[in-house]
Amino acid sequence: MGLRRWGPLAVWAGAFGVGVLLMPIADALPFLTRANLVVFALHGIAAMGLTLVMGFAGQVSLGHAAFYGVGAYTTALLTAKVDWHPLLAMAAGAVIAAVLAALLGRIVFRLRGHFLAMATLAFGLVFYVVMRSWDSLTGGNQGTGGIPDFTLGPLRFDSDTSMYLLAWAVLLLGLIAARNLLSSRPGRALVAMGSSEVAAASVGIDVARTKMAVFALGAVYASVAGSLYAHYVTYVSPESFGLLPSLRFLVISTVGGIDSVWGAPLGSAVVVLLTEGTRELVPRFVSGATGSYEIVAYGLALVLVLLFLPRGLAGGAALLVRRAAEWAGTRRQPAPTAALEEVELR
Amino acid sequence: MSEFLQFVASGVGQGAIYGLVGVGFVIIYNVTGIINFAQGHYLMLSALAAVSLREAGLPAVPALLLAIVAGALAGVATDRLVINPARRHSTLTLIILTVGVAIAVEGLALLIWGVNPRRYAPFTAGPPLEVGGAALSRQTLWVLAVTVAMALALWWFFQRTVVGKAMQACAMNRDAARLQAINPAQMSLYAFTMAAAVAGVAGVVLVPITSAYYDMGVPFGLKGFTAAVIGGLVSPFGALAGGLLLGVAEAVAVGYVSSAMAEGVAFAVLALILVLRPEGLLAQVRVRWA
Repeated sequence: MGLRRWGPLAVWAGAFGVGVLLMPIADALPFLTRANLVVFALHGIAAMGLTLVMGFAGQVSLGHAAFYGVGAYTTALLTAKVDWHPLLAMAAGAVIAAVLAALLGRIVFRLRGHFLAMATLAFGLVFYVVMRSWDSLTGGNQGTGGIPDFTLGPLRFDSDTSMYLLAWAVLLLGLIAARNLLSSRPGRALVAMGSSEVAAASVGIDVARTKMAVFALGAVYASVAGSLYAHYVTYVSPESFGLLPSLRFLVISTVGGIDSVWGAPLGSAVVVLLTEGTRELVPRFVSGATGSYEIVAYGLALVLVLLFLPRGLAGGAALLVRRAAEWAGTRRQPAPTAALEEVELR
Repeated sequence: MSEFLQFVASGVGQGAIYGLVGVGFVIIYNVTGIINFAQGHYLMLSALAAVSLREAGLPAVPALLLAIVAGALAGVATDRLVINPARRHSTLTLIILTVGVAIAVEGLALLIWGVNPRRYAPFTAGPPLEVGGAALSRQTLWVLAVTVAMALALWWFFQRTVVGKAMQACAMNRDAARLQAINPAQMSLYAFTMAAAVAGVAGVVLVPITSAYYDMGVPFGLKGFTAAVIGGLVSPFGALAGGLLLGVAEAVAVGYVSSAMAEGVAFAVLALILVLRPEGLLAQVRVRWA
């Protein structure tokens, strides 16, 4: 059990250590900046929420960035305009995001099939349009600024390095919370639902309600990440929460793997590299390329990973870890069935 | 009243386009169970391809036909390169795959055509026509004529051809269809090809009205989906009717309230229908597939 249980945490600790070492020199490295190391963690947190929604509710959300935006705008308005404490504003954002998600889920999960994809797409676009048009509240296209630094007692997070530490700490908290949740009673219900809705319903799990709860939880993850993002950049505008960011979260979750909470951080690292790599390389081949053409890489990564590694990078890594564990002889029991195996992996 | 008629006149053209995109959603959804996120992107590809072919000096008819073929080939590629290899995966995976196709296609279009919208002149020049006190542009008439022709062609295809019947059988029950020696993978290919071709037709007739731009795939896809949902997602003709309703609703909202409403109408309609009548507005008058 040791390698399987603690292996990922050790990898996380290792990555964290590497990040700390990279921090002073990150800007000098190709494809990497200090900001990337922070953004990696923020996207990882938000995408983890989407991973829960896709992996366990079996639904795809194309409007996840709207919940990220709910957190960011709530924090922006409450801390910059009415001087709330950052933690309080973050909590308010999380509550609003959860309520919105629950309402949306209530409508959509009554239906069978995959309506959530289109409903969340529409929700995300509406959020974007509202933030852009509601000048008096959000500053419209200009956005709203003057967001103070995040503070926690005597601590003030006002630099790349301190935000890095904060974001990675929250990412770790999110990971541990998700892992613990999945081994709790409601979590077991989730896992059961993830493998078979019909079977879950037949043992008394309220599938529609559970889906709604996961969707709300996913929104909370996104909202918390959004609040941190607002403090980090001290300025929010609608562009950061439109369709492209939603698709980015989808790519992060899917490429990382939706079967495991470790997928989101993995996918986030890949997407940071893809984005920076594309922006570096494409202009050499296509002169005068403008706009967000990194989406080419997103699309191809999404298709290729799903075709050749359907359980994502985390699924592939878990397989490697399992092989290693078997090879090291730490597992003595006979090979469990595939379904049991999947449950244990989480 | 004449004001209202004018809004209807300006809405039906757009609405017919939404309907044609919606037809593709219905065909693919019923034959394969997939909601194809790239549906609006076929329209975008054909529209931009048509612009480029016209700019390259090709006469109108071959340019538009070639552009439609290009759109249809994108549908073929979606099925053969992406959907078919993954057909044993869950529907969720297949839907995300179509999202991947859509993003990749949009990115390629951005690299090829850039960010600026482009257009060509209407098919026939001349002032708008007066119909019952409302002005109807000549291109809108072209759109409506093409839509009617497409509706007739679809009716003939599903009602009178073996392949059309086989696709209907696949939509009703895939396993039973298999027992009749119908190959669902083959039907999936036909569905994607047809859906892309119909969207391509919509794209090339649309360009003189709204221009073609690389990120038009998502809004037209979403509105096409809304049109299909109004029709209950079961009938291509329901989708066409749904598209006309949506187009007129949009034009009326823009006319009476403000142009900022245009974006909101489709989403509001989609939300209302999903809440109140998930089986679609037209379920009572359902005509099935023909």
